[in-house]
Amino acid sequence: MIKGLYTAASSMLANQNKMSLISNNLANVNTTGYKKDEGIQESFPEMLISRIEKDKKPRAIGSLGTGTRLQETYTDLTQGSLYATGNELDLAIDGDGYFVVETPEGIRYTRNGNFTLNDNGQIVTNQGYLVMGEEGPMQTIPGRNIQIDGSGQLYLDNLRGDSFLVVNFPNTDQLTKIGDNLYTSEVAGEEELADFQIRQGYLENSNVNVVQEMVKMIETNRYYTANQKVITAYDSTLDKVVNSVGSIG
Amino acid sequence: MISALWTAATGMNGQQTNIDVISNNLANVNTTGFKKSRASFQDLMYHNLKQPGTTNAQGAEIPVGIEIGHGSKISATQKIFTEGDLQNTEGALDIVIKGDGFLQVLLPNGEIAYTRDGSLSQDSTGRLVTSDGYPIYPEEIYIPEDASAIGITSDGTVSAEIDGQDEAEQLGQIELARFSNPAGLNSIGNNLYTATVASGDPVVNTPGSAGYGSIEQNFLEMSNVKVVEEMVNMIAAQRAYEINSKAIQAADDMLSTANQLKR
Repeated sequence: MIKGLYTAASSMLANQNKMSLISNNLANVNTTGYKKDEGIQESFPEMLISRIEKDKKPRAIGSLGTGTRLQETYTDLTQGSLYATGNELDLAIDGDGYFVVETPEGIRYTRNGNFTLNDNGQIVTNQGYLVMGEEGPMQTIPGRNIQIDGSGQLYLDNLRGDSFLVVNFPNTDQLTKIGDNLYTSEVAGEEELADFQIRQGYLENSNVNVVQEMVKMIETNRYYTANQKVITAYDSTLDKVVNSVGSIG
Repeated sequence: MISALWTAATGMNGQQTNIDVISNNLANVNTTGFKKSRASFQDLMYHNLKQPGTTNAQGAEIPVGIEIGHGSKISATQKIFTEGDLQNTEGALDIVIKGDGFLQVLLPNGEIAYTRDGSLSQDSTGRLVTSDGYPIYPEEIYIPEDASAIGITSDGTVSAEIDGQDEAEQLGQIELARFSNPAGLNSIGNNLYTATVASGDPVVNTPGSAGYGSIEQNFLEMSNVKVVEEMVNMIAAQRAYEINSKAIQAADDMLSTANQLKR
């Protein structure tokens, strides 16, 4: 059949996946510490087309693209804006790094500093996962005032507690999102110290830029329609070929 | 189908709950001792089409994978226990807790509930009760009929001058309960909370002792809802709802485009 038909279809598929990414960004516009995803499209390898003549070697006359695909999704880790909540256990990381939390499946990382206490006085996430300090789970003492300084050092009244463990990765691209504002790092490499400031009483907004996402949405929608038009055009060509040229009798 | 449709729908759902929470805060802007709630969001699971770090057909390591998220959800509606503004009411039985702690009241079913609402009054027997008629726990405090000038000191001691007596008579002692995680308390309405596993067990002590708030007479604690803040949150939630509906429209547009492929 006509190559262009499949080329246009591949672009429609890629744009459909892109639309899913945009939707997810928009759905998470109010999610604390959410980092937006960007889709990166890649063309399939171009192929050479050649002229075939009798008794001669085929001669290349140029190349032809055969379509496109969503090659990777890239998480844009730029800092979201901070907003004041006044809650003593709301922490925002200003700069690089991730809080370390212990889940039943193992160590996970998060930028969402919306913490609470559990009934043992340990600092936990909304799902009840323990937030780790340098010497183990972050422990508080009931009845004592909680103060956290810029380096993540915890003070209970004037008593020095543990310090929040904040880590970074040499290759943050390989962090995998698993939902619940958590990331895993199976292949992201060794942890290294992060350059950060902890802000107590603040949370980090998601870094989704609504205007940008809306424009991308319109763009994606139009590209999708354009490719549909290409397919319809090819289809009418095929219609001619099959029904007019090839009419018998 | 296009997963974008469902993804955007989760966003709309979440924002709807967010508006519910904000509405409740605004409805309680004048409720004594009311503590505002805040909805927190989380992203949902991800569909990993390509795992980063795996090797491709040529043996090279793939630096970045493809992960497509499936929207957001409300992870918690958290009570924010910051202190509300104080209001001078001149009422002898109006008290505020300056600092941490809850008054304990005994419910008719024998359960103990906790409240920050200090607008107390007397019932027909002179017993000190909340505005709903629940007596103060653990010590029932009776105010004699001939009592004048009731005094409540910062450590919770209730006393009254009684006609014909030189010294004020001590009537009882108010105690405060604290929780290791007040955000885990269960709101049961009427300004009352009950303890849960998440909040931990109450620890009771006299007002003014280390870590506990002190009692101030003649004042009430207003709600800690800040109207401007809630209005801004409401605008943000409404717009977030709208953009998610736009995403649904766009996804629907794409579906209809796909439908027109075959004429």
